[in-house]
Amino acid sequence: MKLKGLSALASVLLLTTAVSACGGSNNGNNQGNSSSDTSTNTSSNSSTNSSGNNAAATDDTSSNASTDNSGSNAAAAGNDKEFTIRVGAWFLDDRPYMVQFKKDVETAYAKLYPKAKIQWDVVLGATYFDKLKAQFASGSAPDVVFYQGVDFAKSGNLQDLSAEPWVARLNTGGQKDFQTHADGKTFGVPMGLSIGGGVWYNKKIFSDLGIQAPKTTQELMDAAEKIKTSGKTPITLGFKDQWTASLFYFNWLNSYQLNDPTLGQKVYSGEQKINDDALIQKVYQNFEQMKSKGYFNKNAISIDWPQSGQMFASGEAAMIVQGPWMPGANADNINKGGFEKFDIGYFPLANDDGKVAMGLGSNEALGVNAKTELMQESKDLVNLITSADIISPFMKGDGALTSFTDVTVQYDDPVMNDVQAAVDNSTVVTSNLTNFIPASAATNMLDLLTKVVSGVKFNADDLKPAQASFDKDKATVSPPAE
Amino acid sequence: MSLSRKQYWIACLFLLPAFAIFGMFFFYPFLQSIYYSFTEWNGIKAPRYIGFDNYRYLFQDVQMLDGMKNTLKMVVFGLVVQNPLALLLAVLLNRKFRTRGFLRTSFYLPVIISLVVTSVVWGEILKFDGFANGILTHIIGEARLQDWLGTVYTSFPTIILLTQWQAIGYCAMIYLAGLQAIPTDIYEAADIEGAKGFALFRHVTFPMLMPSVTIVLFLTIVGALRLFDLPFLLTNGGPGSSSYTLFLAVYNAAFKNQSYGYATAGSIVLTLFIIIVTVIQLGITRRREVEL
Repeated sequence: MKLKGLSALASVLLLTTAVSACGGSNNGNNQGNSSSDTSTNTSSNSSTNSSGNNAAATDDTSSNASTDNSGSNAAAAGNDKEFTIRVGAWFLDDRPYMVQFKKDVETAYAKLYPKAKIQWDVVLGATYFDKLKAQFASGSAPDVVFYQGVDFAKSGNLQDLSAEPWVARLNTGGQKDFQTHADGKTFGVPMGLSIGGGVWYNKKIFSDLGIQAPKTTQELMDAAEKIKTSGKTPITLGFKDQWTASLFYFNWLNSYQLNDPTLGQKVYSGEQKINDDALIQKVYQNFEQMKSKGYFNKNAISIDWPQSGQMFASGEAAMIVQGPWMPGANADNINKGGFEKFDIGYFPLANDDGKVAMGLGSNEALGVNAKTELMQESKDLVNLITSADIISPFMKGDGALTSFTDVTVQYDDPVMNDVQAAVDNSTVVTSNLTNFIPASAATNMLDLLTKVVSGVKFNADDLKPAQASFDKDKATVSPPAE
Repeated sequence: MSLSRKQYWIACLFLLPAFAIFGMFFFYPFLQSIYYSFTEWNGIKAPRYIGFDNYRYLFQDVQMLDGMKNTLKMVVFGLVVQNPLALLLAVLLNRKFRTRGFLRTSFYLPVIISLVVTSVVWGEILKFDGFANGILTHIIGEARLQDWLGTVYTSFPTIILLTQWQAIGYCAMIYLAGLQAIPTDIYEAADIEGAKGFALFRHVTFPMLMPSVTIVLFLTIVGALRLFDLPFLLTNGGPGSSSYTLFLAVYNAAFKNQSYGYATAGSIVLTLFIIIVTVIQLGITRRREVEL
């Protein structure tokens, strides 16, 4: 019996030791690799940075890119350390320009660190951010992270990159980008400047019905009425994906906010209640009017964004309110669905007076984990991603405008010229109301929007839950600087 | 050391690994979550202690209140409609007739289909221009057609009906097993005594079926309180918060609103609620069980 007891104890201890040894072994390996890599690469990378700075002073795009890369190559000479660098992202799927982006990054990094391996930690969609938060909390976040939201920077998760060579190359929009800058420091690369959204329309339907791109809310209603009379759906919504509701509502509110540019600050300071604000209510009333007149698809609440995209691509609907990816996505939908090709146009959502405010900011931001043990290697990776050869095709694929003074983007679809013209003719804003309220309040507002679009009459009192959520969660908000 | 004491310690040693794993991944996080339920925490910034604010707000939050209302509707529907229907189905399927085997399989089949697949299929059937409206247009006319999952009045009732597609067959099978476990000599004795029809069911079948009733009611109530998958996949609680359930409200508080402290408070209240309701239910139904 005694023997049995001892053997049982031994088995338990053995199991415990084996389990802990496994963990210990991994840690040991990682730390060993990381620390040796970091110390070895620091000196060589300082030369990379200086060459990068030289490149930043040059105006020519192509030569900049080659200068960056050649500088990197020079720095890489003699660097044969083996390591794996992890890059986290939520959008790197199998779209051709995404595949090309990864390939370009790997090729360029191999020249810099021939024996390094890039591990792409991709979790598609919003789950990525939940995972990223957990990873930052547990100290296991990727070395280089794509992110959204300035909170990651403000909470100390991201390294201050203000001294990096590419910072001097950022254009005005890039320098003002909300989610990559905080407290006067630069924490990430804006991977292009995307418009918040706008209305993409079927040019053929518009020209057949003799409709010009609407310049005011009333003109939009008139156009919708004509389209509806013709038997087509004026605007297709895919509000099962709530972000599409957010995109539509807050982009429209941006233009109305031109009548009260400090609305966000007022709400944040408590001077203005969400449920009492006339501008916020006005946008809901617009939606209510459009719903009551039948300007939306009847399944607006129960279909998602891809299904609404299909409706638009098939020619069943004349307009869709979406982000800058729409030209590419629409061409893809037409090809896959075998629909008849058509040109698309773009116009921004204006207020009653025809004034337009357009949000412009990075969709994807690229930063470095403040606790990475591959700090210099990570900075080098970020630096080479900013080279024109790599970032320009990415911006083109994303339908984003350039965020660098020395990177130009050539778009295939002429509609992007409409987008650029719209940006040039509008008041550009880098933040909107959502930057001044907690996510819970925004959710309440969007819940109300889906309710209104489902056919319920708008009642300003229904905005009280948003104000209550704001009052409860205000401390979680990191409002933009004045 | 006595033999029993030795065996006790050996048993403890064998339990140790499981206890360590449970402690690390369940007990410790649970204790931590009690702490977080008293904080305001968005998962990025440091948690801030706010006392009972999260618990107080649970009773003012529209999403939680709508979730609570819908969850209770689901519980009541489960008890009043689903449960009797399942019992009736089981009684019918317990009779001898030609297609009995086929029908038993047919009613149980939905249970083995993944809920995600179910949601996608039903979503397609119920969409505005889907199969259901294609048929209904000939019956109730085009003007009365609804986007069944897209209006505040029909979204949650539709979800309740969809849950029955799987739940009734599942509960009926448990009842059927219970019915088949009742010894035939009891029926023979009752027959001699002259018990027939509903009287036989009321005084013999139902009391003997009480263990199954306990299980089915437990599963119905807990299933209703935990309802998440279908509303999450079909409507995500919308339009507005019309199809929220308590579980979905907690989930969205955490992963949509990034209010992790608040969501933790909600989950603790939900857990306590489930425990209290099930303890009461088990207490009531177990007292009525008949020992053979």
